[in-house]
Amino acid sequence: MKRRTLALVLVWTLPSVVFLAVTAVVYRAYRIEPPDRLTEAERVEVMKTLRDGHACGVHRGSGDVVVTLWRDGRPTARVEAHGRDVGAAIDQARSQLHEIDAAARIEVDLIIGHAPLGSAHWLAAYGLPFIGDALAINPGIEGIGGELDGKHALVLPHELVATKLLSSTRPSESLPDFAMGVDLQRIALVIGQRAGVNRPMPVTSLFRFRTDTFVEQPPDHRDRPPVALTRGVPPPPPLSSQALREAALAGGRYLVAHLSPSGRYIYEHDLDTGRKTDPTKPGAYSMPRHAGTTYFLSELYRITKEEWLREPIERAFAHLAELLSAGRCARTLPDGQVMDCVLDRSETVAHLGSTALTVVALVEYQRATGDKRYLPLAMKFATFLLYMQRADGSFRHLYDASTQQPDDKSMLLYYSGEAALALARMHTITQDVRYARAAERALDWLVDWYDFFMGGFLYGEEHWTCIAAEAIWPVSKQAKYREFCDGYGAFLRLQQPRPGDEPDEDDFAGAYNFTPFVPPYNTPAGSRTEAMISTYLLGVHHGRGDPEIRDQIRLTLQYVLGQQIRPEGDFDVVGDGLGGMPATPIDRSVRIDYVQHVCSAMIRASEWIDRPGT
Amino acid sequence: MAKARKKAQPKQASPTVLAPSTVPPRRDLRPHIYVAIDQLFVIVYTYLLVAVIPNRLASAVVHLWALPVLMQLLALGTASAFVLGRDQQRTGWWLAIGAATGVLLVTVLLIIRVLISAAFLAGVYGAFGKGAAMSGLIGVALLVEVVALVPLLQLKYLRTRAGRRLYGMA
Repeated sequence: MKRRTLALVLVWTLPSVVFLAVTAVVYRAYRIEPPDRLTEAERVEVMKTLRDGHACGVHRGSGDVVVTLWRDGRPTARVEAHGRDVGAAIDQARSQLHEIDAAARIEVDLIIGHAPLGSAHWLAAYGLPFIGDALAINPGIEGIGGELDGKHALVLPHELVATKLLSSTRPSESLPDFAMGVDLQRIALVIGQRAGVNRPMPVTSLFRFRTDTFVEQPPDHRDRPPVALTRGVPPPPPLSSQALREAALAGGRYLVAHLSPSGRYIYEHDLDTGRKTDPTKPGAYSMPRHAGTTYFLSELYRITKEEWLREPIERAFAHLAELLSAGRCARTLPDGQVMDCVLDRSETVAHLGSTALTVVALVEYQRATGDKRYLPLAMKFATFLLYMQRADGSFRHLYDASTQQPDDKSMLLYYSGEAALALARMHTITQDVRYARAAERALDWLVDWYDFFMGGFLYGEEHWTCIAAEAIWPVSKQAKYREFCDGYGAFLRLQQPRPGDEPDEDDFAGAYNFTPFVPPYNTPAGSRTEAMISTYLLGVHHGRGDPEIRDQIRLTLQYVLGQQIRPEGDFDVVGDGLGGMPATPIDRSVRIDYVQHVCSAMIRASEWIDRPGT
Repeated sequence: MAKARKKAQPKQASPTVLAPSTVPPRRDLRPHIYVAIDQLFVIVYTYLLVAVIPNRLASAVVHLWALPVLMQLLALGTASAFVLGRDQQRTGWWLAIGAATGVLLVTVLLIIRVLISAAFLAGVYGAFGKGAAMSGLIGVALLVEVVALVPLLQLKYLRTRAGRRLYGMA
């Protein structure tokens, strides 16, 4: 071969060979294949051994085991055991556990795989900055272990979640509110302390592992087999109208249990620690979310007619009435109309969304009960919304109650769509055409806003817009609303993994997430499904519901059914968390609006999901 | 067969003696264009590294700053065509060849780093879907297009007869 030909061949092949080799070496070093999980019968056998003390008959699988006992949501005992297989390790674990309380729930973690962490591998150290460290582990799936000076420690996946260090790194100083990725330095410290070396373990001493995790059923269901967990979550119940209705009611019970006697909600509940916000003290609270949550409870009452919901709804409204009694926002307009707006104790500036969602909630209450006691109040609020609307259909979003001046510059997320929905709903109960026209102008502005080149590629958070577009039917039958919402649905489907798309992260199927590296938030799964339900119904009104949107809705609902706290998965929940909806699979704080959005989607879909498509 | 393969020979044109041209040889504009582009890249890279993507890791700093430094050397080497001395021009040619090769090597290293990161993510998270995979591929394609294309073309030009002649290498 001539030198020139040889050079040519090398130029065309050598880079590819180097690229392939580098890829293969790094992939092979870091890959831990998903475990071949124990069968149901094997899980039963393991639990029997731990409860009864007979020799375990599971003679396969990993011989590294961690057994944790849980009581009232907190771990009370934890042992590590090792053997030639699962059975031998479980026997050893049993011998270390003296007595297991009948009320305790046993969690078993079989340790599987062993791979480097972060940039510990010599070649991975040359990867792009941030990725190797911040995306070092698959959160909720992988644990981290360490070995140094003959001492070792294992931090299980759920223990890592509880440290709240899995999404706390800020990749950019210019985006202080954006946190994603693992804080490896602090995790190294946690592992060092646990191992007893009392200093951070060097990253090269740390390793990743996976687990096959399962947990015993609650005491009143011990006849059922132990539950296999994925990212700490049990398998979801099969999707059906009944399952959705029960889940939505569970969400309603959660909110009622988190409503204080004053009518103010316990805004946030941390399921890992049991810590809750105090509704009697000033602190983080959102009036739009108070109103939105009360709207959901009213909607739940309208659809289910469960009487236990009515008093808490009225209590939440009473809290609004109490705030209004201060009269800080009430005003008579030059044409003689009286307007009022929702303003929290500590606020001087009223947010359009607070008043808009309160109108939606009040209307929903009247639709549910036929009781018109709140109608005068709703009309004052609606007058405020009309006052805040500009001639082109857009809205001012903030109103300074002390100076009685709207803010013409600030634009906030959601508020315009919420106001459009409020006005559409006001038309439903009053038949006053002013509200319908105002809602239509608002929707025209929202939809036409995208009338520029890049607007054809992107959508913002338009879920209230699409809910309003369906709510205004049949007063306004504009085809452009349907086209807009269908497009929004298609845009969202691009962010929705389907089962099998990302095999290691199949538990995310149905949620909305940009990449599998960041666990999806449950609230958008709820709010977007609310919008997609309205979009689907809009299609039905126009003659045919889109089957793709129907599938999209079903996928997401199946996903969120799994995310809700249910008895089989509440072993690590401190406090009354049943029916709650955590922020993400790895962020186990529950805020009232997480439950509101997801359960609102559930109860609305429960009305038609079992029926064949139209 | 052999006969069939035989091509009809074109009729040989009789050699003609051309009169000496009065038109001066056309000025090669390419070095000017390349110097301008190189200098523009130096400014853009420097701005990006200082203001948009500052990096605190030493290895990344060295790697990324290699780009504007090498591009500046490439610009200087190419600009040596504008000075008179043949020796400086030859040195400039070698400098430009070395700097362009360096930029290409830095690009290959950048691609390797992207691949290492992608392989790492695939190892930890499994198959990561069309969206993320496409983003990685687009990243590599953009690297080739934005970083490697100009030095590649410049290298090609410097090694042509015209390029070598301009710098006194032929």
